[in-house]
Amino acid sequence: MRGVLALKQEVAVWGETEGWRWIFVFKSALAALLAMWLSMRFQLDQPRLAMITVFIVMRPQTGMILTKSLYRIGGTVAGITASFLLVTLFAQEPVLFLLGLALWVGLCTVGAAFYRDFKSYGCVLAGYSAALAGLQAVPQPHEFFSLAVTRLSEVALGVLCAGVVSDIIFPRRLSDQITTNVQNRYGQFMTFVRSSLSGTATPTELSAMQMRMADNVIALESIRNAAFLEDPEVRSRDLKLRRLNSEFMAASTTFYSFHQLLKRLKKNATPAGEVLSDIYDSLGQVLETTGASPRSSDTARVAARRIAAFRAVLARKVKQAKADVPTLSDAQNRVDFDTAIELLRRFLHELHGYTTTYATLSAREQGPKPPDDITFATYTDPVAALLAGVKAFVSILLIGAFWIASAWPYGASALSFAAVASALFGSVPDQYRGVRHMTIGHGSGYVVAIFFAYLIMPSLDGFALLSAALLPLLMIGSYIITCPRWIAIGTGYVVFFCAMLSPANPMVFNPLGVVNEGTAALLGTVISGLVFMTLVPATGAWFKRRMAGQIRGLVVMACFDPLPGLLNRFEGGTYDLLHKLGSTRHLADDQNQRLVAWIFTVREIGRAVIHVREDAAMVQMPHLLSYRVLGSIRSTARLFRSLSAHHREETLDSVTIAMNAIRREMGLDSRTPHDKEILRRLLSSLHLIRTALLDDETVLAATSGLPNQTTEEIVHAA
Amino acid sequence: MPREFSLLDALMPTLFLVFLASVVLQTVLDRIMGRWGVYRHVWHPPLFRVSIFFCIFSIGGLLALR
Repeated sequence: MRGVLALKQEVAVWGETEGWRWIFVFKSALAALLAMWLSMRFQLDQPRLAMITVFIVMRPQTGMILTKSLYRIGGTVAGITASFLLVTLFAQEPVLFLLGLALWVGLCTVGAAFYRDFKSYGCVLAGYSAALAGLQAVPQPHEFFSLAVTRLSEVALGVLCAGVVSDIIFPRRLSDQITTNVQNRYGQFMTFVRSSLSGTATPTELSAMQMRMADNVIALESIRNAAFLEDPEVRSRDLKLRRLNSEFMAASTTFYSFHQLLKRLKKNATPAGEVLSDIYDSLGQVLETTGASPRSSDTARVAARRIAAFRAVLARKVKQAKADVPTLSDAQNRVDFDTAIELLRRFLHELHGYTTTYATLSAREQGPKPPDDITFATYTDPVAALLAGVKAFVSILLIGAFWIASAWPYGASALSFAAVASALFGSVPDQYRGVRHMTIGHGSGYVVAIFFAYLIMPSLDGFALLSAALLPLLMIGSYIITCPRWIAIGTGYVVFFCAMLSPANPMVFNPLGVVNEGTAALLGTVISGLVFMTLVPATGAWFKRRMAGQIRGLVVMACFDPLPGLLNRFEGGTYDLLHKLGSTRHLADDQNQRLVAWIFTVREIGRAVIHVREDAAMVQMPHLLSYRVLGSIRSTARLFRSLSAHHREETLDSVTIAMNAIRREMGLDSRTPHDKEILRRLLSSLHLIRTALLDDETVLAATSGLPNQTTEEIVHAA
Repeated sequence: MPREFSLLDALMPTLFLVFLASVVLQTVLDRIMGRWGVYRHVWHPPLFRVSIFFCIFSIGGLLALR
């Protein structure tokens, strides 16, 4: 009896870790074979295209859906239309035709790199189907229409098979994924807060935790986007999910600022720091009891109540501390203390909101509509996307030129694979790794395909045997796809294998053709890979510098963009950049660490600037005062546009001047208590900016610290 | 009904039109059922959805080609 129980447990554990992989493996193999069978049944002449499409489209991470397939079919239609245009215009002119094709593939690569998720896939398919249909039609332009319709049918068939199979057979429900994601993040965040409060975690551990949470935010955003199209249940919770994401980001940024400020205060051994430590510990205790990752909404509700109760305790403790510690009445200490308390209060408010939203997530009602539009702004570098397009363009042109110059009979295969590969390279976050993995995958697919074509294929008779023989080889590829790190290898292998084998009805046995075409296709991939790696590589110094500039640009955005929805756009931008850095290869490398440090500094200062602007808009200020506040914002923007010790000093001066002006304004009797409260908040935010600028351990200080350093050197250092 | 129709002089199967109409109808139905919470009482919502689509398409196709 005990043995059965143990076995049951073992099976449950296996189901959680390995089970879904095997489900995916069987599903994608099934979808591919179904697509093959259907296209043979419909007498389409290239069943391999349907199979390739299945493997390009099937992804284990997100639930696949029929609605999402619409984007892909749309992309294919766009690609076929483009190739139609090219063939009708330039069927007689190889140079112009290839130029046009290169331009189109380049454009699609820009799209694939710029958008994400299914929009990106639509672009990939648009580029790839244009190359396929166009290149096949060039020798026989009269046949183009029927060819185009067949290609379209094959791709659409593949998309539909993948969609239906993954939707119907053991679907990984998106709503389940969302629930796990949200629960994990809540737990992670609580652990993060607790371990930074208790000081048990090292800075590297804390930064790794932040990275994980950033990945989590982006993952939720992408699942939510997909689910919005798919699942009516999720659609009805959409607003809440968006709010959850934005509240989480707000709370974690505030906590980060608070933690930084406290570190600075403790380091300088100010009396405020000591008083705060006490309050800090009691907060840790409150979260200690609530933080044991409340899985159910009930426990989360209890946690929310406890956090709300602590807010009342906090007010009492602050009053007591002010009475007990006389040194706090000194202006400098007081502003330190007030700023920290203000941050803590805000953090508690946000944490309370986050926990409440988390608790009511499963409830049916939508809750009040927020004043701002909560859209998550993703942040993609248009120049990087454009550059990926240029690379695709160049690689297509290179291969095309070689084709024309050498009258290579297999140039078309090389070109179409170059088109597929460049569109895919553009869409992966780490192009360097993408290229390497894709080449490995293609190479292994090539070897296996030759082996299969020479040894196994001749003894196969009929569809049943063919699918039985293909099944294990396809399953190997899908299993590799389930490991997120090896996705490109698995996809490359299985796509190349299907393309080379080209099962058809009636089956054509042409092993020599397999070798010739395979070599050409592999060459196409390798050449476009080389172009992607050598022509302004995405890991190069220029990109690093540009990225640093972009990160700092977020502060400029915080300074000048219109206020409505700005906070969300700003936070979304920082998280997106953090996620992007996390998904590149060398996170441990010094330059990347520096970029991550920049993101944290930018998050702190940019957030404070936004609060200054919001509060300044809420209160009536005399002309001179608003001029001073505006001046401090302007000089902050100037500092982040071009770093230098001079600008840093200027910013410090203008912030100090603005703070003094606010202090004077607060002393006036004509001000109502409400106004004074807002002015006090304004003062805290400005003080936060000031301490962040003064801190000599931040990356900001490291790059703008020495007065003699010229901007040129700083740009290099970043 | 004729089996094929001419779209800019290219012959297309009439069933394609029926397919498109079914997609539209299914999307509308899906929204309505989602709002009413029908899917909460269904064992396997995606399967249910696809089955509904097949029903609509089959009925439409049979009616169109009768």
